[in-house]
Amino acid sequence: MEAIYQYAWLVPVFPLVGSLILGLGLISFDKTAANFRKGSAILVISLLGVSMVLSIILLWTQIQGHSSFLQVIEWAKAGDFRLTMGYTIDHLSALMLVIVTTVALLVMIYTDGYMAHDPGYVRFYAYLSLFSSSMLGLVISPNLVQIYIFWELVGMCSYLLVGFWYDRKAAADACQKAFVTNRVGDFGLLLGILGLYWSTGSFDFTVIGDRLSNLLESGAIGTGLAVLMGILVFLGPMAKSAQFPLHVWLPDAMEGPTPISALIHAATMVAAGVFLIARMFPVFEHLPAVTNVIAWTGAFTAFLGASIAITQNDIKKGLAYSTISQLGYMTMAMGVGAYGAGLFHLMTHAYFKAMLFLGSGSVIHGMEGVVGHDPVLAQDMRLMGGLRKYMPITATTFLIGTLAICGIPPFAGFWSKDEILGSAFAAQPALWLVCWLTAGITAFYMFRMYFTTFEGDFRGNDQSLRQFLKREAIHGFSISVGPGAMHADELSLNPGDDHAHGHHGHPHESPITMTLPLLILAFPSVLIGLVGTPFANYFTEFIHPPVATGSLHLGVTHGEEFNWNEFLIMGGSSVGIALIGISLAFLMYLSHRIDPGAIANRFPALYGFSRNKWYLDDINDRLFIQGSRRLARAALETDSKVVDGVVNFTGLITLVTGEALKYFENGRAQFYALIVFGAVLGLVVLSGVSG
Amino acid sequence: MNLAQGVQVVSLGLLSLMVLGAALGVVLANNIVYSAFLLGGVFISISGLYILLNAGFVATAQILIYVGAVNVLILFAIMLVNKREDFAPISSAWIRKGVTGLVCIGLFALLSTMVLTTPWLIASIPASGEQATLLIGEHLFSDFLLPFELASVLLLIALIGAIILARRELIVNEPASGVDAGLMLPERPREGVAVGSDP
Amino acid sequence: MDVPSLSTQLNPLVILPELIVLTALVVVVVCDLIVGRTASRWTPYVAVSGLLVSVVQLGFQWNNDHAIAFLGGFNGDALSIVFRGIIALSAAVTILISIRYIEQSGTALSEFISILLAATLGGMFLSGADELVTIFIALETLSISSYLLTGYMKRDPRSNEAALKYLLIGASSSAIFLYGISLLYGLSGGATKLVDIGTALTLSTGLGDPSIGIVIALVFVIAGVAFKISAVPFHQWTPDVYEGSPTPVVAFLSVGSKAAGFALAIRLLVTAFPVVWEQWRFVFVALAILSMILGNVVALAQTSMKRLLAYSSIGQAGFVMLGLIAGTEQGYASMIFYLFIYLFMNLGGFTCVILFSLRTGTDQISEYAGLYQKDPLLTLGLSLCLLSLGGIPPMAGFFAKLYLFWVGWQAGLYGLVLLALVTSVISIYYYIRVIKMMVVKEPQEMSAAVLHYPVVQWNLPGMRPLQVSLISMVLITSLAGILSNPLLSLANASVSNTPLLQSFIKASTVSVSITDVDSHL
Repeated sequence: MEAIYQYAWLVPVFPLVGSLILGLGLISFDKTAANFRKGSAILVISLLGVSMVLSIILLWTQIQGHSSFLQVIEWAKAGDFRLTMGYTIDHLSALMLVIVTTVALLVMIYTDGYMAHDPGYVRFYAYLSLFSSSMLGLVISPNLVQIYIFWELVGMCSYLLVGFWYDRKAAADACQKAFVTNRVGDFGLLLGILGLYWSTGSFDFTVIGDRLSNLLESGAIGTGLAVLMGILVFLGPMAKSAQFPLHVWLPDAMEGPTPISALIHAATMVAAGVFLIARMFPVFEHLPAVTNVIAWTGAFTAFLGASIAITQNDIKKGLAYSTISQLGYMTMAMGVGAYGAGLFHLMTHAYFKAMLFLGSGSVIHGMEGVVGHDPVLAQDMRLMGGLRKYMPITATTFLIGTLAICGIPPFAGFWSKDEILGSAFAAQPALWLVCWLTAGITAFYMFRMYFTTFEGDFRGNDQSLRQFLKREAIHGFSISVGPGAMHADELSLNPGDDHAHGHHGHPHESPITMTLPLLILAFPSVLIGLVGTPFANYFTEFIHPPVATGSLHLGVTHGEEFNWNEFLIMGGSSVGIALIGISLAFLMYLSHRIDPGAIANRFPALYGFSRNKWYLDDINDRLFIQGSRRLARAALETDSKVVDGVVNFTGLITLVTGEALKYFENGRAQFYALIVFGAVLGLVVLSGVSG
Repeated sequence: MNLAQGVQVVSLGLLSLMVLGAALGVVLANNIVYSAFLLGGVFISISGLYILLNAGFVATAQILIYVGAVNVLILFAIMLVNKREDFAPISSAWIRKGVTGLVCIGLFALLSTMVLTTPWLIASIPASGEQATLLIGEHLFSDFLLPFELASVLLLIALIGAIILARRELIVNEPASGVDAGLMLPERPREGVAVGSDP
Repeated sequence: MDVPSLSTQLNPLVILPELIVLTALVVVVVCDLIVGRTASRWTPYVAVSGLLVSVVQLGFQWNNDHAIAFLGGFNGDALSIVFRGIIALSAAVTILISIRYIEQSGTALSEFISILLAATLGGMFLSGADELVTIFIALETLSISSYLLTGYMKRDPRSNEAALKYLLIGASSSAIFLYGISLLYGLSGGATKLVDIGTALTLSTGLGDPSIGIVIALVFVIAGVAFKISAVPFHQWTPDVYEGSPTPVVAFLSVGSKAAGFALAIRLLVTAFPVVWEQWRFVFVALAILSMILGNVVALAQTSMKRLLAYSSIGQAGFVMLGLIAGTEQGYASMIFYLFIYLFMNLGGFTCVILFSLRTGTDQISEYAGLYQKDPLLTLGLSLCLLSLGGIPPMAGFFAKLYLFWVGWQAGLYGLVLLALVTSVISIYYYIRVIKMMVVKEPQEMSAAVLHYPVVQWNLPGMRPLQVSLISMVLITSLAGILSNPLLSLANASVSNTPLLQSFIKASTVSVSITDVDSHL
């Protein structure tokens, strides 16, 4: 078995090779390569399949008790500055490898159906493969520098993929927003990494942790400084895992094609933040202030995401906010020291959320057959309804996913969420309360989504509703863009109609390449939770923090002292609130006993608050975007007036003296010489003064 | 002070006055031809200073190169261009002159402070006097061999460059497919390749 | 002095690499004269192979114990070998990318190459020159050849103007430099060798403050060097000259000439001016701050690709100065490493710019719009090189920048490193702007130049070398970062094998620790 460890580095290399082949093909032979569709898909998928098999074998040997494996080569050496590069296979990375490869493989299969008519089919596969490679590289990175490199690569792929349909303005804006927001986080992460290296002289997680604790004990560095560095590092996961206040990019990122939303923005990349926290666990555990910040950020984000998801009408946006909320859970679990629970939820969430997103993609695919290729109409739940009749497989799998995310036993989400709630309760009951409430809200909005989409009557052929939605979209659009950008009347109100006439009046089930991944994903969504039940918690036994956590209270008891009463109370309460949420959703959206509109009208402030995403985008817009625009304008003015003036200093003189010196007339060269002499004089005087 | 010293002091003073006066004239004269001739005066005066310093070789070289070559070249250039142009008076030119004057005065102040305050190291080797030319020759072929030889490359390239700049351009429409083109030096207009952009 | 001992003291084999380049130069000139115009088909390759052989020969001299040649006039230590290698390589690439350009402009190729070789020769001698006269002659060889190259397109008024400006400003800065070294000659009591000057200055200064004469000599000398590396405020010639000159010349000026300037800076300052270490550090801090800010900020407003690269090269020079200011062993190594990487990424970028201007006849950034649709290879190459210049991982430029900043940080230059970080973020903006222009444009937004883009043909005469240089430069730029260890160890070894740097570093760290102790007391 040692041989397979020697070649474990091939796991990220296979997809990289695939993307390189496609990319070079596209660059060298544009048209020919773009037409070689099936071949490209099969190539990439089979390469990733090989990686998946390798990963599964690795995970299996790890479960069998193989010791963790670390292989590094010296990458760069300059004096005492050493950078190593390599890969590490331990429990955590083996698990992440399997999660990433399986989800990525299914998403790739799904893509074949979803993108069948897109001209960028091959390009999409190239990007997907590149992303998979970077993500796999990220999870097997043994040190912070390498993680940072792959971190940026993953971010770049996300940028490329969100902006895949770059001719759509919304997508172009969204990818820029994602890029900028992530830069903020990455900048913090980079500073944090550099700070940690500065203080500990290492990029290795455990080494940093050990040395940091020594330094803290000896008082060589202040706690404040250490906490600052910890928080800076946390800024990275905050942006990547969409934690408040850097979560704003994730919902907009849904402008990308749905397979991307499923793979990157639900299952894998956004989990990279949680993964990094897990990797940094040896460091964070010495800094209780940082873990508290992490925990509360997570809990707040969980609540925030859920509360916004209630009022979203776009099916993908709704799922996006639920992702934010679930990521909040994981982050909080990490913060309270529930290492295993957080990663357990990461795993279950990866499967069921990928399935939910792929399901929503299937729904959108079906709706596009009715309303045309218009994201405003095709993704709006108000136009859906009753789709279960037309798309039975999608509906069933979506229901499974919904049940899983709501935490109904025995679906996967129940076990992981219950474990998180339990550890939160053990750490801080207030955290538990927030999360418990959030669980109820989650159940409510997920079933609202399910009921409006799959149950009731189909509303997609209601032309007046369509017009209303279009108008609303344009209205909202013109507000968000700002006055003067584009006049609302210039946007045609019915571009989708001529498409619609060509289609039949009701949606259809998606092709087998799309439903097959859904069916496959349904299995882990139902069953995977069973590996981590509180009475037989194989998962937490397998995944545990790398060093003994002495300073932190570990919320999760390791199975041996399992308490049925406690489990029943905790589990019962969370199932209870979930059921309350489900029944509320049932009453409001299926049996229409309660009119949601009336409630919204009763509390317009609250409704608006949630509908407008807590006005966070507006605050951002006012505070940062307008501010930076103003700054940019000021900079532009400075640029045109001052900088140019300084550059063409003669130009400035020209302004002052009013003489009309032109470019080719002499006078400049003398002036340059004058500057040279003046500079010499100034430098002598200055250095004489300073020296 | 004996006679020789007296002569030296007097000629030093005279030469310095000549250098300063001629240099000021170069800068201040309005007619460029006068400037050029005054420049020659500056060079000659400086070579006089060299003679006072017992540096006969350098003095000769100074006259040969600067007066005989550089200054004559400048005069040729002025005569060849032979274009009298009345420059429009520049309004508020005093700013430029003022700034330039400031920089110059600053530099002058700086350098004179330096000259007065610096403890100069005096070379311990006795002045070579009449042997100077010989010594220079020895140096050129021992420890200054490399720069001496490198100067030949410099001259070669300056020669080639001068020829390129000066040679007449025989423009043909298209290079005759590379054959028998030894005599032609085609340099056709550069359509298709704009080096830069519009100014 | 008898002949054998003279030849051991001259030790002429040290300049064998230069002799090879010189031979190539003579072969090019003479064969062009004898054979005629057809010679230009193969003379470029003679020159390139001469340069490459010279680089190989430099490699053989790596562990040369008798590095001092010409009675102390020339020093062939590891430091000079590395810089001579950089200059020779940059010249080789420049010749490869200039063949088609010069042919298409209808000027004579062989003369161009011989002037370029002379410039290379000057730069190589400058890197190893250990004595004032040699330094000045080598500097002038480089400068005068550069003026000639700049004005090579004499039918183009912009080229003429650029050459004239370059000549005038260059002459002033040479004059200042000459004044500075003549002061040195006087201050040291008639020494011309840098080592002797350094000793004399140290002796005359003793423990007191350095005299104002030394400071003036220092600043004057730095002014000459700063002109070569185009550091603000000695940079004004750069944009005009870059815009007017033939693009291959710009490529050489921005890499080869700059490397020679840095080599001169290191050798001169470290050998002759250890006594005013504080002062020259201070001057370079000022130059670095100004260069980083002005170069990168003004580059934002440029509309012409060549001007953009001109200002970006000013900014890049500012980054490189960080290593010099740090003054540690790592500092010099990081400079060398950065210059190596800069060689590849900048020449790669210029190759792409040349290709584009050959095919469309323009350098305007706005004309690059939509290039991705017509020429993906060129787009990819230019994007990779620009990303590397901006310092985006995993390109080589990122690692080079990281190393420089890291060294600066370790040397305690916190403010400078932060400024460098901020300005390099600014630089990313203008590099990305070009990439965005090329990639993210819809077909209808394509510029006129791209719309009439000719069919990509590599089999035209002179295009193959361009292709070779494009692909190899881009490949190295993308891979040299990830596989940077050979280059890094080369840079480190060149510093640790150079005795003068070692003794200087030792002395300066001792003096620093003494001042530390003083300040603590």
